[in-house]
Amino acid sequence: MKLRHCDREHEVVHALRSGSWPTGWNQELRLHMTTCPVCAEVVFVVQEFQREEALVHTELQAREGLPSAGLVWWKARRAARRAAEQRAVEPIAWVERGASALVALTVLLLAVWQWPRLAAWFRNLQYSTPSGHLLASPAYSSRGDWLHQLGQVWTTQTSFLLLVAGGLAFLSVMAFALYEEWREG
Amino acid sequence: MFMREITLAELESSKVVAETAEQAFHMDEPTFRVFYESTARPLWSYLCRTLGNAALADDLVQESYYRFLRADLKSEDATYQKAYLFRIATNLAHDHWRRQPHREQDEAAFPGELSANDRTAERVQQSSDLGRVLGRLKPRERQILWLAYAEGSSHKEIAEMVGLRAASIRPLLFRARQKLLKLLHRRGLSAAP
Repeated sequence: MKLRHCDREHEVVHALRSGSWPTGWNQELRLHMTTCPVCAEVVFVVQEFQREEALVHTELQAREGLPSAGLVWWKARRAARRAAEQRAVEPIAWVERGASALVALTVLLLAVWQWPRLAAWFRNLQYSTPSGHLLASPAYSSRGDWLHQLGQVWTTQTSFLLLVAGGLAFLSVMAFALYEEWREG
Repeated sequence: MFMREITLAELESSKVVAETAEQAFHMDEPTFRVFYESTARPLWSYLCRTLGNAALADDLVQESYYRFLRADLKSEDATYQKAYLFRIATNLAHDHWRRQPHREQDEAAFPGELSANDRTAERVQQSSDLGRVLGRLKPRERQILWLAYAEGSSHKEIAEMVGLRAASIRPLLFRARQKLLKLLHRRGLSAAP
C-alpha cells in the first residue's frame, strides 16, 4: 500500500471540528478539498467521527453524565490515603513476620537440640510406676500414681516442661493466626 | 499474615503520612476542577470507544485522574497536561487488553458484532456504522483514529499520547484510515470524491 498524505490534513480536520464547514471555510481550502483525494477521505472520516461523538453525548446524557469533579477528587484522595497508610504499616507487618519466624525457629532448634531428653521424658511418663520401674502395659496407672509421676517430673525436669508448654502455646497461636488469615482471605 | 490490630498511635502516624500523601498531588482542587471540566468528556469518549465498554471506561477514567494527580509533571501547560492524561489512559487501556485473552478482547468491543444475547447494559449501545466498524480494528488503530479525527490531535500530540515516535504516526494513521474506509465501504458507505 503506497503511503499517501497531504500536508493540509490537519488543517482540514481543524476546520471541520471548528464547525464552520462548509460555508465558513475559505475558498482556497474548499477548492483544495475537492481536488485532493486524501483530504476528501479525511473529510468523510471526520464527519463519521463527529456523528459518533454526538452518539457518545447522547449515551452520556442517558447515563446521567459523568461523575462530578468533586467526587473524582474525593476518590483520588481516598486512594492516596489508603496507599499511604498501607505503606506506613507495612514495615510493622514485616517486623512481626520476622519476629514470629525467629520464635518458631528458636523453638524448633531447642526441640531438636534437646530431643533425646524429650523422648526419654515421654517414655518415662508413659511406662513408669511410682517406684521408677517400667511397666509391661502402658495402660497401667492409677490417677494418684499419674499425678505423683507428674509431680516428680515437674521438680526434676522443669525446663523441659516449660519448653514443651511454650512450644504448644506457640503452635496454638500460629494455628489460630493461620485460621484467621484463611478466614479473612 | 500475622497482622495484629493496629494501635491508635500507629493510626495517628499513618494519618500524618496520609495527609502528606495528599500534598503529593501536583494540583489543588480548584485547578483540578477546571482541568476536569475540560478533559473528562473527551477522555471518557476516547476510552469508551476504544475499549467498547462504558463501565470499564468509568473505572479507567477515575484511575487515570488518580494517577495524573500523583504524577510528577514537568509543565503546567494545559496541552501538555491533557496529553499526559491521555497517555496514562492509553497505558491503562493497554494493561487491560494485556490481561484479557485475545478472543475476549474482540468480543468485549462493540457489541454490534455480537448477537443480541451477548449485549449487556454496560456494553456500548452502537447504532452507528462507525461504532460497529471500530470493533473490527486493532486497539492501537482505534486509538490513533479517535485521537486524530475525533479529538483533532496533531501527529506530535498523538505520538505523546500513545507512546510512539511522531514519525510513526503518519503511516500508522494512513493504514488505519484505509482499513476503516474499506470496512465502511463494505457497509455501503464511502468517501465522496
